[in-house]
Parts: sequence; structure tokens; C-alpha cells
Amino acid sequence: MIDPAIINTLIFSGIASMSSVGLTLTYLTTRVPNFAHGSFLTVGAYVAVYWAQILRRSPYEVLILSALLGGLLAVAQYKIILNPLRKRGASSTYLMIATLTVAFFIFGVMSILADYFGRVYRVRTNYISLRSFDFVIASVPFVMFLAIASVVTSTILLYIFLNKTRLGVAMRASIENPDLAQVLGIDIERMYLLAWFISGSLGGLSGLMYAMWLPVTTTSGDEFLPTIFASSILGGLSSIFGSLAGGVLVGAANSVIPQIIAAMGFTEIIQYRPVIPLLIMSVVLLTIPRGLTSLTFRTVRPSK
Amino acid sequence: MMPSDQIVRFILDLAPWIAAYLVISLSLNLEYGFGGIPNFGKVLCVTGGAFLIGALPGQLIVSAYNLGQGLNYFDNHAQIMPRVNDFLSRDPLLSIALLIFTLAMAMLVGGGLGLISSIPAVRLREEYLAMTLLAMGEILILIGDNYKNLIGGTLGVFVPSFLGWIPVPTRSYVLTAILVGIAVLVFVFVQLLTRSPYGRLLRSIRDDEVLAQALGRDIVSVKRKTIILAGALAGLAGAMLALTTGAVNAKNYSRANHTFIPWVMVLVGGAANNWGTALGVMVFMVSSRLIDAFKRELELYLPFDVVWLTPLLLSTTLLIVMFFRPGGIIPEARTQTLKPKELKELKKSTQPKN
Repeated sequence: MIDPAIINTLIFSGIASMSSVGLTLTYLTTRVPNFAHGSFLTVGAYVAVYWAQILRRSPYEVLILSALLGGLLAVAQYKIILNPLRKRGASSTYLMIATLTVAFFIFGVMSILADYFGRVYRVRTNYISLRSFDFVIASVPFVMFLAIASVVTSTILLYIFLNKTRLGVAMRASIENPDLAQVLGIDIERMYLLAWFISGSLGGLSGLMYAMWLPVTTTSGDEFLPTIFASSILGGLSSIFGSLAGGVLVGAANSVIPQIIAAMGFTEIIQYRPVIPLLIMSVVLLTIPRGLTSLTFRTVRPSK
Repeated sequence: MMPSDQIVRFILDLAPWIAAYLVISLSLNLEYGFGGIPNFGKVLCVTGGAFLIGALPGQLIVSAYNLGQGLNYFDNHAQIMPRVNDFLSRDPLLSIALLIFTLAMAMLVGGGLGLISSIPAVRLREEYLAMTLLAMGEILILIGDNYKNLIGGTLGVFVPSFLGWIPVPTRSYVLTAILVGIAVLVFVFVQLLTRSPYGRLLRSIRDDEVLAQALGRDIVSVKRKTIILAGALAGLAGAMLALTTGAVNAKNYSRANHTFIPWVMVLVGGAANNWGTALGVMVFMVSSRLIDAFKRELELYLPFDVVWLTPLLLSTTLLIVMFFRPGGIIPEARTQTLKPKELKELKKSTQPKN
């Protein structure tokens, strides 16, 4: 019997961790935080919601579809919006606004679809959680195992990919020194597209996990965005493994801090849970603005 | 009804909204257009001003003149509000003084929130600034929605009627005139400010931070002052919105309506150009009202709620403008430099006569 609070923490940490890795990966390529990253979650979540609500089948059947759609959306965003704007010499602020605009475009499309499917198939498409579609193993929902498994697998796979494969090394080279990578004959455009695809598909996957545990609306991803940002900033914003760790920590804080305060007698505090990522963000920026990874680096080897 | 009547009514309905959004957009233009500060949390200071006007003046009157008689301001809102409005309608002077005081306090709250939101972020690069401000944005909405003793929680509160002493048909005209008057004043203020040495400094920081720093400017302090000032204006705009609707409810404030839409207005109209911003506000308020007006007709053909067309329309327009007219409809005016002849004359006139 596992404490429900621990289950909640693990699932939340998994979602935060998976989505913030994606954010960091795209930040590394374009040097712009993607304000539409939450939209990948929304899309992934709604693929699962429609599948479950309309066809009455297990959302896990569309696991790959959710990830694929998120990935394609991210590629489209990079290819159609960001890259052309970047080539026109847009400033980073301008690119950030472009990503915010993409987020609102996707929000509009998702709201229209939710309305349309809701009316045509007469199913609930807003404020819906798919917990009832999940199956339980030893009184633990399957999504918890999925959350843990995806964090562990993606950590291992990303490590192998970035350090042991030619493609991964080429991607790291394109991120760290685009000019030099190009000289060596690496097609950095393709590397960036791949990074965006991985980012979007991790977002879509986290969206599906989100839908399995928390109620989904067309703004869910956007509401989750501060948590993603907090995780990435805690991880240093430029470190893939830092943001994996950041996500786990932010997820844990999100469930542990309210419990401690509630245990002290202030039960009303639970409602203000969304303030926590912001507090983490503020504290990190005020104390260790370069994130967790900057700490370890300084102790392992002295800064240049 | 005569068509001219309808037009007058259309304008009267729209004018307070245009006024309030003009103030929000001008404050954003000051921050982003002139200062280059990407404030993605515009909604924070707007909600600050709106919540203040919902929370402060009513409770102030109730406690100062003991109108409550044991009733809770939020639990018995429906009973207390008529008493407050009745009391205020008998005292025009007090009403006006209270209105002015409230608006000043709304600006103070907006400025204070601006200061708070700038603390963790102002020293950092644009990306961090934008991320932190966006995360800050929704905090107040969350508190207002959950904490009953601020603006009545999920039920919301009414704004006291400051103009209760004016007979009914003229009352709305006066309110509209006041709001439009405030917007015009803010426009003139921002226009003068951006042409002052401060405005020049702001633009120089936007264009080259390092250069401004090398010339001895404290860029952190200038950025912080700008965020505070823009926050004060946004707080005022929040109060104006609350005066227009007559009520405050946390649910009516959102990233979409009070952060994104002002961004669209500024960028489409023309950043760093106050006339452009004003044009952007006009275009969007009028077109969104027209969509509203034809809502029923559109609904017959569309299998979804028409309101969702607005985000699609806004984002598509903004993307088109960003791609094909990056400066907006009216781009930033080029800085006028002196002609060589004028420069020579100026040099001659300022040279010390020996």
C-alpha cells in the first residue's frame, strides 16, 4: 500500500520532468524559451481524451500517437514560424512573442475541437480526467509506473543518444557551436528539427500522463507552463539532465510543501499550490540564477 | 430606433473599453516598445487595480460610516451594496473624493506589484524576465478566486456606484467621459514622457544595453522604474475596467485577455509609436465588437462557440504582421536629427562669447 501523496508526487514529478526536458532542448537550439510548450501537453492530453471519450477505449493505445502529434506540432512551429522569423533577423523578444502567439493559436484550435467533438458525440470534453480509464496494479494507478519509467528511460536514452551515438554528438555540436559544426559538414537545420521533434513528443507524452491523472481543459498546458519553467530554471535552463532533476524536485515540492503547511493547521493553503513553482523560480533566480548544474560544476572543477 | 441612435449607443458601449485597453496598451508600449522589456505578465498589475477597486472603497465606506451593522461585507454583499450606493448617492463630494482616492490607490497597487515582479527578474536577460513575469501574472487571479476576503472569492463583488448622485440617463455618459478623459491624459503623459530625455534613455537601453551602461547609465534602475510606472498605469486601467463592468470577479481576468490582447494591439498597431498603439486598440476593439454583434448569425453556420474564433483571428493577424510588417501598421518614427546648417547655428548660439 503506497501513500496516495507519494503516488501523486511521483506522477506530478514525472510530468514536470518530461515536459521541462523538452523545453530545455528547444531552448538550447533557438535560445528562446518556447511559450507554446504547454500547448504540446494540451494536444497530447486531448488525443487521449477524445480516444477514451468517443471510442471508449484505453488511452494508452494512443500513447505513440500523442507523442507523434506533439512532435509534429513542434516541428511545424519551428519550421513555419520560428526559423523563418529567425532568418529575418528577429530579436529574441520578438521570437518569444511569436511562440506566445502560437500558444494562443493552438488554444483557439483546441477549444474549437473540444466544442465540436463535445457537441457531435455528446461527450464531456472539458474538465475531464481519464482516471477511470486507468488500470490499477496493486492499488497503484498504471500512470505512476509510466511516469517513473518514462523519466528513467528518457534519462538513459538521452544520455546514450547524446554521448554515444554519432547523431547525438552531432546534435550537441550543433547546439554548442553551430558554425564549427557546419564546417564539419553537419546539417544543423536537421539537428534542430530533430531536437524540436523530441521536445514536442516528450510534451505530447507528458500531456497524456497529465490527462490520466489530472482534469484537462484547453488551458491545462498553459496553466502548467510556470511549473515547466520553474523546473527548467532550477535545472539551469541549458542543461538537459539538470531539467530532468529540476522537474523531479519541483514536482516533489509541489506536493510536499502544501502537505507540511497543511499539517501545521493551514488546510486552506492547498488551493494556492500553483504559487509554488513561482516561489521556486524566484528563489532560484535570486540565489543560484544559473541553476542546479552551475553548483555541481563549480565544485567539481573550478570555473574558468 | 433611429440608426444614429444605434451608432451613438455603439460608441458609448465601446468607448470605456477602448479607453481602458488604450491605457493597458500604452503601458505595455512604454515597457516593450520603448524599453524593450518583454512583460508577459501584464495581467498582474491590471488585476491589482481591479481588485483594489473591488475591495477597498466599499469596505472603507462601510466601516467609516458603520453601514454594516454586524453584516459581513462579502457574505451579505447583496444587502450591504444598496446601502453603500444609497449613502454615496446622497454625498456627491464624498463620492468624487473617494473615486479619486481609489484611482490613486489603484495606481499605487499596480506600481507596487510592478516593483515586486521586477525584483527576481530585472537583472536577468530577456528570456528569464519574460518567463518570470508570465509566471507572476496569474498569481493574483488565483488568490482572488480562492481567498474570500479579498474580492469575495468565486462570487466576486460589485464596485460601489461613485456616480449615484447623477440621474440615470446622464450617468453613463459622465462615466464614459471620465474614462475617456483619463485615457487621453495618459496618452498625452506617455507621449510627453517618451519624448523626454527619459524616453531617449529608455530607447538607448533597448537598442544597446552595453553602450548605455558604458555611458554610465544604471540600466537596472531604469528598467525597474519603467516596470513600476507601467504597472501603475496598468493598475489604473484595471480600475477603469472594473468601473466599466461595475463588478470585479477574478474569473474575468486572464492571460489571454489582459496580456495577450494588449500585446497584439501594440505589435499590430506599431510598437514604440503611441499613435500606432492607439490605432491597434481601436481596430481590435471595433472588430471584436462587430464579431459579437454578428454572433448569432455566425452561430447558425458554425458547430462551435463563436468566441473561440477570437484567439484564432488575433494570433493569425499578429503572425501575419510579424512576418510582413514587423514594425506594425504605423512603425516607430525615425529619430529626427538636425540638419547640418541648423547644427552649425546651434553651435554658434551656444558657444561662449569671449
